[in-house]
Amino acid sequence: MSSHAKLVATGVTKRFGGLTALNEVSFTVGSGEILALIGPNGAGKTTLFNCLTGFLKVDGGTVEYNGLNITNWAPNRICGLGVSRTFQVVQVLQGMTVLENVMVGAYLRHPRTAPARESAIAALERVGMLDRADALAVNLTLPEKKRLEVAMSLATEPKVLMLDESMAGLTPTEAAEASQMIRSLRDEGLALIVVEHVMEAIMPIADRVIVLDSGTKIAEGSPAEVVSNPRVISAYLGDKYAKHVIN
Amino acid sequence: MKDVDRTTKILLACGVLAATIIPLFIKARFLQHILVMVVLYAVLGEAWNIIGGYVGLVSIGQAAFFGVGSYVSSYLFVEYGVNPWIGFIAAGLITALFGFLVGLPVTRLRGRYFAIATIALGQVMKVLFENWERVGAATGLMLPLGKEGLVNFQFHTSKLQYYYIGLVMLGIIILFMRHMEKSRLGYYFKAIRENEDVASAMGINRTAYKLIAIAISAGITGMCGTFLAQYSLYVEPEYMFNHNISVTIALIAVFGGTGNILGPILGSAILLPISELTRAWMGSTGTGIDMMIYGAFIVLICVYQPEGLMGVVRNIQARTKAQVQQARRGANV
Repeated sequence: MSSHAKLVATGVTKRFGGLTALNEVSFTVGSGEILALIGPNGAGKTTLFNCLTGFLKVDGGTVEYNGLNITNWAPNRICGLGVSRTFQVVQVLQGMTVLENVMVGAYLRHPRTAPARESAIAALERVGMLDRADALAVNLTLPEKKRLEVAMSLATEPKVLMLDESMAGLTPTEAAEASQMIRSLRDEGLALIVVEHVMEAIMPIADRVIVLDSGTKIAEGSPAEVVSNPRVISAYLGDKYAKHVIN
Repeated sequence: MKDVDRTTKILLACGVLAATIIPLFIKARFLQHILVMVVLYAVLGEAWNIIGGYVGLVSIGQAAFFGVGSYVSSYLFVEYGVNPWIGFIAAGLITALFGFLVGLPVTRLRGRYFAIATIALGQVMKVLFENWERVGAATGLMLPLGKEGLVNFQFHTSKLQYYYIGLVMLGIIILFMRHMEKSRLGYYFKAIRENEDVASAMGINRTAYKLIAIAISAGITGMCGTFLAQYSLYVEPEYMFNHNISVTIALIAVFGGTGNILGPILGSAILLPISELTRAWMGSTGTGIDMMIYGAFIVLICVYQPEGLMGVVRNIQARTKAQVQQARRGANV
């Protein structure tokens, strides 16, 4: 197990003009834990990621990592501390090969090329992309790009990993493999925050779930508690899922 | 793959050999002049390539760095009698610092705004030096003639020595860039070019790496300024800060192909002779036909090979590779 890591968000607020995208969202996530972040479209999940990782400046509240106040730090410094993220709209270095993409991440902890390459190869193996190492990132399929992003994040050797819909577009088998990987990362002591729409994949592996709706946290608890929460059912899961739960 | 690599290596070795030996047999001073310009602009193109090709910041104001470098060494020489080689190093360091300081505000700009800011920078520097009495204002500085030789960085009887000095500079920058391409610096530069957000998310301090790139590029360009100052033995703002220098540098790099080492060299080796020869043969007709031929040539490449000359090379390589694979498949059947 790596050293204990803890990310604490307190009253994080973000406004875009008159719209409050995040309204006093607080939560904690620690090593060896999978926190699922769910909510309907536009609930503020990605905005929350951006605020936590420094891509957006918060209008209120604080983000702390291991007791260190990292609110509104530059993204690269936050990554340097060990908090890494992937993007909802997949972002890779299109003109570079898969291996080069991951090496860019690996260089953060390994300034020399040979160790960086080894570390990158290990990260690629981990997500099952080693056979595509020489392909140009621009030529990958969307699920492959998502996996590449995860490998790039892993290569920065994070303590806290935030995955923004990394399973979107995967086949059921691939999604199962992905959840297996997320679980093994947790067992290695990473703290994971996972935004996911594929409920079948995320609910069984999440330790805790928080639900956002219109920028407000409306529920937090175990997956079982959350799916039976009436506010959650009405706000997000809808009648169809409500019936499913009752049955 | 291996076959292609080997052919490339043999071609490169032939190129190096030809670049070293053939000029020895060229006695015409004008042809020697063209050779000097080719190596000078190959170095300038590589310096541009570091920020333009690798980091993706298109500079059209390299003349600012070029001019500053030429004035640093010339002023030191004229005022204090400092040896031009020391001036050459000083020009590199001071221009790198200048590039760093200019970069502080300018690297905040992205894409076309960066390009426009660099154009402005070139113009501002020119006007500044035109009005700076201490460095001779618009008349510039004349470098006193000294004893010919490598020590004084002055040669009067032949231009070939300048060519070989330029060739050594080119060799050093090629070695540097080969090392850069395989190191963290090169990967980070490319990552910033490809996607600034991903670069940040991977822990890269974008601003710092942009500043490093612009400082390196400016430093090398400044040393080239010293080179031209020693070559023509005078500096004046209209000559050293000429906007044409900025445009030509960007042009040969883009024309040759950016983001790789060979591109700017190819660009310089093809564009500069065309530019100089058409100017010499037809420039005096007063019809501007030299510029028309030059321009038409560039337009043709842009239309048919937007990736530059390196695009042509890559296509040939890909075709050879495909043929080799096909031949192998045929052998297996």
